[in-house]
Amino acid sequence: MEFYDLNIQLEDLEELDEVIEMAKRLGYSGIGLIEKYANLDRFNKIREKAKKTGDLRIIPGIEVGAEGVRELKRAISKAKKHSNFIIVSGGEYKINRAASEDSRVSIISHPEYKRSDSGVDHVIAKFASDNGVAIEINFHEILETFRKIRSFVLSHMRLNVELAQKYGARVVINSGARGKWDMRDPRELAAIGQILGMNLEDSMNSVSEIPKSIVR
Amino acid sequence: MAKDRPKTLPPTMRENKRYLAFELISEEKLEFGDIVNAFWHSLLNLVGETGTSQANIWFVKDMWEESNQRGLIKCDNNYVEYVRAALALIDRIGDKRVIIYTLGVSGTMKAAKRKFFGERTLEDFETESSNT
Repeated sequence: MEFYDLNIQLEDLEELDEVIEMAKRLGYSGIGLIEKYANLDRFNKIREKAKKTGDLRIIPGIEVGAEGVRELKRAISKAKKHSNFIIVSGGEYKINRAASEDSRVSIISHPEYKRSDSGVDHVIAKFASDNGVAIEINFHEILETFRKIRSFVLSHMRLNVELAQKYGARVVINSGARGKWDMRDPRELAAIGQILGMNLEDSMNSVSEIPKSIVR
Repeated sequence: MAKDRPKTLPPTMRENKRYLAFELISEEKLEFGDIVNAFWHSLLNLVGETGTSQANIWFVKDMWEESNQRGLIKCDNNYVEYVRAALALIDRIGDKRVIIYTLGVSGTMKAAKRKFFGERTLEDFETESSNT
């Protein structure tokens, strides 16, 4: 089985080789290295690196964030010129909604980020399903929170999983790593999926078949 | 004279247990006690006191290998995924960054020793020698 972690956002590009080594050790077949659109020079460096990494596939992607819907659409159009793999930084309801309606978007990242609700409703789940946009479970969100806040984050993610399953939207589980120490074994990420209400098959698909189909 | 402890339960009344072999990646080699404390803290945070009581956790101290930082945890079979998640949620022990991942799950300690700790029994040697 091939495993993919499609959301690694390095704080320090010097760590790139170590991240690649760690990904190989943890059994990944491919990793998505994501850069913000503003950091196109870093994105180009990753793209250069991606050409010469042997058996580990590196997928350079662009993260798009915006304050409003029009700005988001414009940013997606610009990002699309550089990469087919576009992640939208979720959190705002209208951004989550606009991303779910746009088939150019691959993943809505952390839709529940800094919210008091899950950030996804039945409308977004339905659009995401129709447009092939995946909803992300970001492990870094769980790792970085504690106690009460973590319980809220888990609860919101559980609701997102439930909605995605009901409306047939795809769910991907990513580490959201900022460096090599935030990376986790794919089977451990699948375990997070299971405690959020997925069955074994779905949770394993969320770290293997679904991300693989996104970056095919 | 009766022993001062309960008799071993019949097989159907015993807990259904699993053994999880794990490996730790860290900046420096760590001691068994530190990992145990970090794990209990992580599991209690994740599933609370009731969940932890149902998980029936037991660290097998004899199986801790300091050289390659591998160990074995016994838990209830319904809590395997929670134990995995609790291991994944440990990112720091003391001031050292860590990643803990499971090597696999086994139903008996004997199988766990053979699969994940490279232990070989006399039977293994006999089957190997008969094959060659």
